[in-house]
Amino acid sequence: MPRKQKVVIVDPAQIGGGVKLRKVYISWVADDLKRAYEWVGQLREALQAVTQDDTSTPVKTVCPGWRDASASEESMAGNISEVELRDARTGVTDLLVVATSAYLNQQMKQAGNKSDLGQPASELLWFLSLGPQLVPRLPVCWLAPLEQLKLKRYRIGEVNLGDLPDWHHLKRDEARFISLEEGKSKFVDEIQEAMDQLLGHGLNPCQRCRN
Amino acid sequence: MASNQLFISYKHGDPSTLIAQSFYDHLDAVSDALDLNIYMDDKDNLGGDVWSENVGDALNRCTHFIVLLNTAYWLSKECRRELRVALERFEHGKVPRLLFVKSEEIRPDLFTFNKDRQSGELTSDDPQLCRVGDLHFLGPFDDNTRLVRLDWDNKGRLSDQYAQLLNRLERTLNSPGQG
Repeated sequence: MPRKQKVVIVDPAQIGGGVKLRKVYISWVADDLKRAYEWVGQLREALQAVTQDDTSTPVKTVCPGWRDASASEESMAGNISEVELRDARTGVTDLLVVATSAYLNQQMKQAGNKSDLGQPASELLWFLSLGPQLVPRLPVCWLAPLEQLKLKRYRIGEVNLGDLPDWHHLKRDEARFISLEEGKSKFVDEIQEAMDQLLGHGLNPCQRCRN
Repeated sequence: MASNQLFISYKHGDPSTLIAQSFYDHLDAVSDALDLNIYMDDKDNLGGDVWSENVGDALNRCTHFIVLLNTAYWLSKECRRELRVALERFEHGKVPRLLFVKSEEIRPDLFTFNKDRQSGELTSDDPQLCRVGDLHFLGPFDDNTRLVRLDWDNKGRLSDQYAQLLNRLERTLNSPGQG
């Protein structure tokens, strides 16, 4: 009788002991103006067409809560099970925060709550609370502002976003990505520039990284 | 308790309710940093027709009264009632500070100063201000500092206008006594 094989869950991001996969996690929420939906949709589509970054490391993109345009607005973001979330968050190397007032509002409101698994309910806080003892490599924090935001004005729990030194700004402070209706060509170009920055980073930490 | 008690006064309708909710969300996100407590009529109330006790309490407590101004607001009896309460408080004690946002176009004939009022005599029950200087527009303003309406048709521009309103509100909060 053959031995029953033990099932081991392997984190695909860490095959062979080291991180071998860029896993980009897009953290976002649908907003009243639907700007985030347009922007994330374009970025997601562009990233999914990419198989590897500039250092030939394979790239995978996860965008929890994303639904196609045919889905209802309410279901576009935020409605996702904890198990799905846990899987999506495992092995993330790059956290891309799509910053809007709606997103920051949601994170602030969730900051004091815990999930059923005892984790911070705020997604951003969950990622920011990761320490080197928990993951082999802390995710690079990318900030994509869709609005002119003064980060110092925003506090998620005990964290003032303006005090975080390791943001990798995809736009300079208080600048924003343009909206689709301001010009499709520039809209696409700006997202391409953001992708170039992201894919040019590689797995090795830069001076801004927490690692 | 937050030291800045904001009251957002607006006329329910399309798109003004959405504008108000969106403006509220932008303010709410920075409420800790700017020490704000924001009151906005429950969106479940119908068209500003309900004058609840909560509204009265919030009106009497507010330190900043923000009007999302459009023609419908000016023509609404309930909205003008809120404005009148705020004006009466302001005329007696310079509180709350009266802050206006041009959310949509306003019929020019609705927005004029009564000459009689400049002498301080009340000639009608309508809300009026003693001085033009008491009327403080948060915006939005264009690049030539002309007052314009919120550009609801252009999301990018609208988000810039919200940012401008927040910046101007922050400056107002930090400059006591400047109406």
